[in-house]
This record gives sequence, C-alpha cells and structure tokens, in this order.
Amino acid sequence: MAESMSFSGNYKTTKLYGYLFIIPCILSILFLIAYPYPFTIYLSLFSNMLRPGIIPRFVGLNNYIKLIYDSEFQKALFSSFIYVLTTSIGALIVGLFTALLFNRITIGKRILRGLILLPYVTPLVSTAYVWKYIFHPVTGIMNYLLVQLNIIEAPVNWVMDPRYAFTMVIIYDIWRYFPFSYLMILAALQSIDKTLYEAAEVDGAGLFQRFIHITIPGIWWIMATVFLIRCLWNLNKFDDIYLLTSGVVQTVPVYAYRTAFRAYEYSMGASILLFMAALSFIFLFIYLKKVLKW
Amino acid sequence: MSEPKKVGRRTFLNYAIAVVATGVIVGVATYFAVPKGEVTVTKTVTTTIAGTPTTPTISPTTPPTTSPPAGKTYVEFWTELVEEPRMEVLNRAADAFMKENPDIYVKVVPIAEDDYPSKLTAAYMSGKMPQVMEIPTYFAPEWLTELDADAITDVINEIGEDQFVYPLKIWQIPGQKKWYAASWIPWIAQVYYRRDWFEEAGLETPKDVITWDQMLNAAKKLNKPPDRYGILFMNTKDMGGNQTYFMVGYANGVRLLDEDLNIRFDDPESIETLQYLQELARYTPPGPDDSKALFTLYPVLPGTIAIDIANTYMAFRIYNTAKDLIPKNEICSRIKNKVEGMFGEDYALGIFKTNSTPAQIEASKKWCKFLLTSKYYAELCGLVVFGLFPVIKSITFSNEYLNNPIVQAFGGRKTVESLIEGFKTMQVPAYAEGRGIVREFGPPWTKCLIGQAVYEVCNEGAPPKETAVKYAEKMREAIKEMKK
Repeated sequence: MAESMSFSGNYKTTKLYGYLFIIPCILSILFLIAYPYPFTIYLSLFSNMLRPGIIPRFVGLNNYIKLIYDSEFQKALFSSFIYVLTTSIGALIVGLFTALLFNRITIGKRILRGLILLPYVTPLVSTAYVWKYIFHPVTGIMNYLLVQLNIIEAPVNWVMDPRYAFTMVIIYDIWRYFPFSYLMILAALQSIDKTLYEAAEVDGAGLFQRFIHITIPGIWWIMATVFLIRCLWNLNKFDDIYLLTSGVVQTVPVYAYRTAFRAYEYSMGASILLFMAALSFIFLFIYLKKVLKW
Repeated sequence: MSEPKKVGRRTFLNYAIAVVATGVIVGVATYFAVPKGEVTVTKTVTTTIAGTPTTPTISPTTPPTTSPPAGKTYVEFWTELVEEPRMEVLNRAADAFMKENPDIYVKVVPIAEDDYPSKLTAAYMSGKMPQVMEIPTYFAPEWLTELDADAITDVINEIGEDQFVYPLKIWQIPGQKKWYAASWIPWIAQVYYRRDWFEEAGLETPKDVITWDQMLNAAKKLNKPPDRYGILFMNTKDMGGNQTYFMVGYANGVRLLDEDLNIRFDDPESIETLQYLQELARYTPPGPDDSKALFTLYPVLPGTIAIDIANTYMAFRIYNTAKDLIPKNEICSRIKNKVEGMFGEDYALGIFKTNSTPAQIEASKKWCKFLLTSKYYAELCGLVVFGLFPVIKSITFSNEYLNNPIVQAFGGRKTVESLIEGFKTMQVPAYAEGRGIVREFGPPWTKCLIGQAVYEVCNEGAPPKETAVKYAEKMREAIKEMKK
C-alpha cells in the first residue's frame, strides 16, 4: 500500500530511490575495479613492465603460456590446492564440533566462548612468532618435550624444514581460523527451533539421527557459506604462510609475491594473479550454482 | 499509530545534491591543500633482508605532519632506518639542516627495506620519486639509470675522496672518476666465536682473520647437540642463503660474474664453496636457519652456539643482551682460504634525477653532505655500533664515536681500525670487476637462485657439483630472459 511506504510515489519511484542510494557504493566498487583490473591485464601482456631504463615489450599471452609450463608454479598451485582444501575443511570440522560442544555448555559459557575466539582475535604477527618459538629446534618447548618423552630422537625444525613446514602451516591455519567457523555455526545452531529436537526425541530419534536430520539441515547453508569464504580467503593467503615459514612453504600468493616484488617481474606477477582470479571465479561460479543453488 | 513522515522527491534530491556538492568541494580543497610530491607512508613493519636486527619494529608515522612551506625547495629522503630512535636522530638532523638552509625543506620518510621494491616502483610510476635515498648495492642495479652520478660525485669531491675510511671502489663508474652513490652506513660480515671454548678445547684462537680449516675443525670439535652446536649460518633458500654463499665463498675467490659478465657459479671455486658449506652444515642446528636464528641464539642464549657467521650488527646485539659474553667472545672480520675476503653491504646515499628539478638536485647535494659530515652522523652510528659504520674519518675517529660505551666495550679504536681493514676487503656480488655494479647481477640474486643452491646442499644433501651446474644454468637463463 502506498501509505505504508516511506517515500511518496509509486513502486517505480521507490525503485529509482533504491538505485540512487546504491550509486555511491557502485561508484566506489567500479572505481576500485575499473582501474586495477584492466591495468593488471595490460601489465600481463608485456614483459619488463615498470622497470626503469628498460623498454617494455608486448608479448601477448606468452606470460600465461610460460606460467603453465613453469614447474615452480605448478608446485605452488598444487600446494595451494592442498592448503585450501585441508584448511577449509579442517577449520570447518573443528569449528562445528566446538560449536556443538559450546552450544550445550551452560556453566561459564561466556568466558569459555570468549577464550575460544582468542586465536582468531590475537594479532597474526604475535601468534606466528609464538608458534615459531614453541616449535624452534633449539629453544622450543615442543622439541624439548618430544625429546624428553622419547617420541623423537633429536630436535626437529618444525616450521622451517620443508618436510614438516607444510603440515605445520595447515595446523596453524586450522588453529587460528576455526573460531570463525565456530562463531558462525554457533549462531546458526542457536537459531534452530528447540521444539524440533523435542519432537524428534519423542519420536524416538537418537543423538546421531537428530544431528543428521535436524542439526545439519539447520546449519547447512551457514557451513556451505563459511566453507566458500574460507576457500576464497585461503586461495589468496600470503601473510600467515610467509610469517610462519619465511617462505619455505610456497603457495601461489607467495610465489606471486616473490616473482613481482623480489624478482621485479611485475608482468609475470600480474599473470599469476589473473590466473588465480580466473580460478577463483570458476570455483565461485560452480560452487554458487551447485552447492548454494543460487 | 502515526503514519511515517513522507519525504518529498524534491526535498530528497535537494539533500542529495547538497551532500554530493559538499563532497566535491572537500575533495577539491584537499587536492589543493596537499602539496605535490607528498608521499603518504603508513606504519610499516620491518623484517630483514640484510640480516639486520631481528625484532620487527613498528616505524613511527611519517613525520613531519606539516606541509612544506611555499617557496622552499623540497627534498624527500627515504631511509630504511625505520626504528624510532634512528628516525628521531634523522629528524633532528633534518631540523638542524633546515635551520642552516632556510630555503630547503627536507622530509625524512621511513621505508622498511622489504618494501623498497614495491614503494620505489610505485613512486617511479606515479612520478613521485624521492630526491635522496639510502640505497644498498643489491638493490641498485635496477635503478642505476635513475641515479644522478654527477650530483653525488660533487658531494664526494667536496668532502674529499680520501676522507672516506675505505676506497670508494664499489660505487665507482668504471674508467671514470664518478660514483653512483656515496657510502653511508655499510655493514660487513663477521665471524663471532666463543674464545673460551676454543681455548678449553685446545684450538687456535685466530684474531681478525679466520681460515676455512680453523672454522671447520672448531665446528666439528665443539658440536655437542642438542645442547650445543658447532656453527650457525643462514642456509635458507632466500636472501640468507644468498648472503652466506658470499660470506664464506669470497675467501675462496668466488665471483658471480666475471669481466665479460659470464656466470661463474659452476666454476671450481664455487663448487668447493658449496662442498665446504655442506660439510659445515653438519654441525648446525636442525633444519634451515634464518637470520633470526643467527641474531638470537648466539647472543640471547649464550651456550648454544660456538661459531656464528653473522655481521657487524651482532656487536650491538651482544652488548644489549649478553654483556658477559663480550670477554669470552672473539670477532674476525675476514675469512681466508685461497684468498682473504669478506662479504658486506654498502648502504649508500643516492640522488635520483628522475623527478627532481635542478634546485632540488642542488638541495639534495647539500643534504647528503650534511648527513655525512654533521655530528648527527656520529650520533646515528652510535645507536647501532658497528652495524651502522661511519665511513668519514673525522666521524669514525671522533671522540664522540670512539667514546661510545659499546665501541669501548668491544676494544675501542683498535677494533675500529681492525674493522676498517675488513671494510677495505669488502666485496659485494653486484659488482663485477672492470664493470662496476651491473644489472646482470639482478636475476640470480632477486630470484634467490644462489640461496636455493645453498639450501639444497645444506639441507637436502644435494651433490654440490650438480647443484652448482644446475643453478648456474638457471642463472644464465634468467639473465637471458631479462635481456630479451
């Protein structure tokens, strides 16, 4: 009804106001995309761009072709794939079970819920350095304990030795980001109607059946969304990995950083990032269509 | 219940136009209020490239907050000395300089060394290059074309070439009496070792110069893991590995490029160096060790490491964290095998001509001369004794510097003189004999191909000869690619 609307006029006018309100947002998004994206594409089609004293050369798609055959990039891409998959699933599972547990706790729940968030809210630099010290081969408490308990014979450089560093990065990521999944899932859990559980219990449903038929459907969309967000974050994750392992673990963002800002190959760096952006879009498109059914 | 208040279309549009107009006015006013050439620098966190202090340090927000007064010549000075006490001295120096030169405005901008490539490229593309910058040799090849050699040569000539404590060979343009930059705060690699343990074990206790054999024998004999390790050096596949190769290799006569700019990474000297590093790595703590380990274990946990291949920043660390270690410690500023040599890094003052007016170049020359000759130089170098080494004789041998408690604690004038001998033999990999600093150095260094080779032989047991050949080929390919 026209009387219930905040603005005078018909539906068409209201629609117009709607567009008017989102114009600043659209403009800022366009501004942020309009320049960087085309420039990055332009950059990726040349070699020796942004280098003083060297004339850039148009190479077309050569940078992309080189990238596909670059064994180091292939390794980085594989590492990124494993990293994204394991950390996203890992943090989701740990977050889910923590949320289920904390959904039932009644005594001291506020303090405990706050404590669970600590890894997520502590600054990244602090946690990365604390982990480095805990797992240090000479000074770290972990090596000391493991040697004392005869679990390992000699100290190990957990965060720098490539044999262990990748696993450590995955564990660190799950530890640091499971509170995010926990927080989202807990909110979803609390919105599930309690009477559904009571009714199911009356009907003779066990704990597992209630979890499968009530809890999971109730939190499915949140879990799927959290998984998507975490995948996209981790596909571009640089800081955690670089701070913890000083570059021993090389995922695509670390490789791109090295290529662009260490080796001055800005064009190649741009190609890597565009490749990753395309990959993210494809993943996003399929995921939204198949999983989130948008 | 009252009906929601209706807002007319005209009223709404009026408000919207007013908001947009205000935004435009504020935007235009801000644009004209901010002086041109101003570079906004946010807080930065420094890690390390050169193996300098290991604790990340938050830099102060870029001073000064005021805009340069109209009619003054603007000089922007980029420094990697982002730590607050060092910035404080530099800002005071700038104030004193501006008092002496009221027509010049100097702005000191701290830039973390890790951010140099991205920040300078951004400045280059936006036409806002600084006028003066602290520039290390490893970073210089990319920017040689932008440096004003004539301007900095004038500065060196005014001060007097013979006033520098070591010959200015590294920055010299071959065949000319001209330089790309003027040495400012160099550091040099050094070997620190536990003299008391050497004596207890009946080992020789070399002074100033340590040989490959002495190092290896001592590392072998004093290695008692997991409580104590024989030696510590950087063997990561990044800048750490890059540096270690030259720290040890210069004593064996290695060179990355020869006079014809050919890669020499697979020559016998280089293979021997990799073999030697592989042998030494048997007596290091587990896994790859980075600069943080280098600057932490030896001084902070005395008793864990017998020999530490570090650099001149270490003295400052030892003084601050383990004064008791000083009498038990010995420093060698040179390593010897086939020859005597030592790796170092010469952080110099460079003047960029790219976006500078002639007036700015003149002002930059005055500022560089002031930095190198004023009392603030001694004060600045006194903050990190030996890590920031003063290169002008009148400053190096001034009472203010020699009486610094840390200089005194490490032996005073005698140690300073010994260090100068080390600086005289200092070599940098960006320099090719007869060619000066060359661009061909860039790809092997920035892609860390040297570091990767060191890493593989030290941590993965890769055969030195095959590794040297493999990486030499990669270096050649990378240089070829750059030249395409």
